Amino acid sequence: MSSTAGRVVRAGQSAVRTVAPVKSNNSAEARMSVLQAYKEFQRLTPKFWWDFGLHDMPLGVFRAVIKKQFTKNGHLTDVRVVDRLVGETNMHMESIRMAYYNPDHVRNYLFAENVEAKPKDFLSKFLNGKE
Amino acid sequence: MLGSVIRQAVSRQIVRNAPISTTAVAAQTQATGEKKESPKKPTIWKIDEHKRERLANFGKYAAECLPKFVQKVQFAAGDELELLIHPSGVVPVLSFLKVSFIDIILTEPINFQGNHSAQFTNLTFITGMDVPTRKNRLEVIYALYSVRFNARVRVRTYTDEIAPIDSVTPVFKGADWYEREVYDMYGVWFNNHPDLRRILTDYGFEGHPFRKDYPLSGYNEVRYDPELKRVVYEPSELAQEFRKFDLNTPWEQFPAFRNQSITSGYETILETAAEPAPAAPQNK
Repeated sequence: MSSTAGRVVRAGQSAVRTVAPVKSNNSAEARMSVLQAYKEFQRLTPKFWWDFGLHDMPLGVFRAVIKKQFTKNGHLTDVRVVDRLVGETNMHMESIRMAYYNPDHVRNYLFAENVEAKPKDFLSKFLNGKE
Repeated sequence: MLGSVIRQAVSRQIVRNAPISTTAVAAQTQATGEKKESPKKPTIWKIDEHKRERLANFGKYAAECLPKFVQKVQFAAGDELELLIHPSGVVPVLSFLKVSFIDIILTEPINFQGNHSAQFTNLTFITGMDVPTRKNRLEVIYALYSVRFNARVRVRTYTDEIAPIDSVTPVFKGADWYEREVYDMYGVWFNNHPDLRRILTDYGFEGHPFRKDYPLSGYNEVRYDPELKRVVYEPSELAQEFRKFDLNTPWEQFPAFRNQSITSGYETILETAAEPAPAAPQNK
């Protein structure tokens, strides 16, 4: 059975809070699991890139896009949040492998930042033919 | 050998302590129940006082057997037994309710089903609840049913946005999709779940829709873009600025309960004094 043992994640000035870990016991373990997930994802990337019809960009660019998904969370320090994101990444990888995701899903997930902001003021709405 | 001796001893103790219902005594209460009719009841649901007492005894017994995890035993709506437990005790408490005595859980495999006093072998549902004002805002509720005794129990535990709860799939295989649903709708993370993915929402969905802070219009809207020739997700945008809708009915629905607190429907059976500490560190 899994251990739900409480472990110290952070010692405050006055009190020590014990919480149930998601997976890792300390930040070093969490870091290792992130690196493992990253490596696995990069191993998956060529097949992913080809199967999902993402070859309108070079593979190198696509690898960089995948890398960005990891580096954008680089500021996180809570081990449990990191573990959860690693768990979600593993879910995504499983869904990619099993082709649960469609190309549109991954495109929208990976390139959501590139969506142009909708016109806010009247003039640009007018020029876009909205009003 | 030793295991069977323990089992006999414990089952004898249970017969004394906490069997839930026997038909002979139930018939007796039916006969006496006609004489003393309470003046006015809020519902037409007839509460079997005898069974209620048995359930209360069982609740106390469960709290005695699992003092580390059970924080409160209560009745909701008259005769619905609820065990409020510490989140670290989900697997032990549910296997206790299924198998019903602790020695079996410690010595025998988890799927053991023998002669025991409750037999909550049916997992009716698992669901979540979000109360943002609480310290641990999310609640996970397990409803169990005993086919043998026609009795129900609910187990309630709590968590926050990131604290994980142990999956009960080792105890109840049917918990798999329910836990996926709770993960999807509330974002509760279940450790050791065999296949924790979203189940109701779309692939690549953002957010957990049953949380109270999830916006009514969602985060993304979807349309087909004829130029890109694919479906595009965009941040959702309402044509009209947000309006404060008045969704209250003009009629007062429960005037008799106007001044009652929302927790007045609960009746506490047993409450431990302090919150028990989480499980001691195990070196495995």
